Amino acid sequence: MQIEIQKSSFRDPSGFLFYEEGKLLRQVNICYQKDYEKLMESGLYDKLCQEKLLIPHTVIKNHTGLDGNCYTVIQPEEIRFISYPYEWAFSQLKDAALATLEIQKISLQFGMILKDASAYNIQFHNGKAIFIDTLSFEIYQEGKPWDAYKQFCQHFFAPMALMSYTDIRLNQLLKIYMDGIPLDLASRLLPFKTKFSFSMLMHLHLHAKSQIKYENKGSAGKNIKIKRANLVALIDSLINTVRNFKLKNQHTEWGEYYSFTNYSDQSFAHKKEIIEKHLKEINPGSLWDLGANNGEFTRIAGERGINCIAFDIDPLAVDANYNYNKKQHINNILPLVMDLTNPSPAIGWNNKERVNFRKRSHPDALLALALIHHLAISNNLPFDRISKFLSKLSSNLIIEFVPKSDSQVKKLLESRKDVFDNYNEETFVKEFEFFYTIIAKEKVVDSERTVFWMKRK
Amino acid sequence: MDSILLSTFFMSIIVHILAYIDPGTGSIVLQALVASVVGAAIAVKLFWHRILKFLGIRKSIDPDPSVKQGDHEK
Repeated sequence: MQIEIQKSSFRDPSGFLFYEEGKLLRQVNICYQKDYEKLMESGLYDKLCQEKLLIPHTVIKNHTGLDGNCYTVIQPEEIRFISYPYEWAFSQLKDAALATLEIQKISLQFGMILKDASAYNIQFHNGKAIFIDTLSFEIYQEGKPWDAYKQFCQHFFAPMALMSYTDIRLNQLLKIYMDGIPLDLASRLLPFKTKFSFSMLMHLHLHAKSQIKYENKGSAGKNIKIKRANLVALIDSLINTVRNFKLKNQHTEWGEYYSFTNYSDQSFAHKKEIIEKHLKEINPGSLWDLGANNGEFTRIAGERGINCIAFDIDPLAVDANYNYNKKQHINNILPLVMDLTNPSPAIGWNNKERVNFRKRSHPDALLALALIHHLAISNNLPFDRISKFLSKLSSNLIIEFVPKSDSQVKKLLESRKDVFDNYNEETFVKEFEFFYTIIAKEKVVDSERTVFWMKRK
Repeated sequence: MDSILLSTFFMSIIVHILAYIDPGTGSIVLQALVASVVGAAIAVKLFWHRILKFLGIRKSIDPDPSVKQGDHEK
């Protein structure tokens, strides 16, 4: 039987995740028995699942686990696509933070508490932030401080504060700092005026100073007691502050893309029609939209019930996509921030804890609209490398060729020397036909662009 | 009585072992400070509402300010 322990599941002695014949299972260890029983019998599990805050699971009867420590084995509901906090837009990080705090508050009502508050405990499932670590709950001991407060501040509070007050791109620091952004670094990067906000002063600036002051004085915290009512008040303070974090008037290059593109209504409609036609033929169960911007074209696939991931380099565009889908109750599109020329690497212990972008899953189809010129011209990528890269992702490709006569390409070439002698449709087709067979090709009405449907050889 | 004391003792050890992350001493100290400040502020606020209610100036005590519908979409 093929068994493999999940590579990021090793820190918590309460249990671990493993794959058995392709199924993801979680071993619950004997030391976690009392907490697990409390979670299930107190009503907390039912309440959290009802609120769609915790991933539901089923118990696998008669499974004895992988070692002598096993109490029970459970199978959590599967998450379609694993994503990480450094790939989330601002509003996604905010919803993940609020979900964690809401879970903490509800847990206290049932006599339990979260023992960790890592952003990696949250995934996006059917459009919502959901907690996936069933073993994170422990029985609350009256008076005991919240052990995960520091982790919450590093994983959620600091990146949100930085995105709000300094720069929207700063959650990328989570890629470098696996256990959240160090508070002293965040404190240094934040504007001075944030020291005048009570919650920023407390949860971040003084928190950073306190960490440094008590670095080698481990015994100082041993006998500290915090009344439950005060702990709840602390959680409420965090909830209110997180809720009030907003992106102030930050502008990014592609944030308002669709207001300024060169599509007429006619060409827009025709392009949508072509894509709909190809999607009907391909009938994919899953799709990745590369360079999706605000998701305008991803939603064509979404409307057909296709499970979509919408990648874009622009965090504001991804944020707009996420908020639009949330408002419209569109649950089958997951927007994520991704630079295709430098996609998420494998990081963490042994470079295996967080999976690299290409290994997450293989969609049935790819959309690469209004993308090729950014890769080939802005990033000097030759066609053969682009086609090889795309061919490894999926067997079906719907791609738009944007020629030099297009106004967007003219703009890209305005400020630089045109060294792109091979940037033309003929060479594009030749290089892509190395990896693909072209099934269909259609020029978009009232535009210079052509949409191709290709199948990997 | 002895068995109750003994099981409480062992329970406290088990709970301690399960808390596997380092809470950070500085974070615990700060947490205690913030929790007592905000806790006191809430207590004062509730007390003030009760006084106003008693005097007939306010009709009822305000609901939990942190719970809002739609934060986590259902």
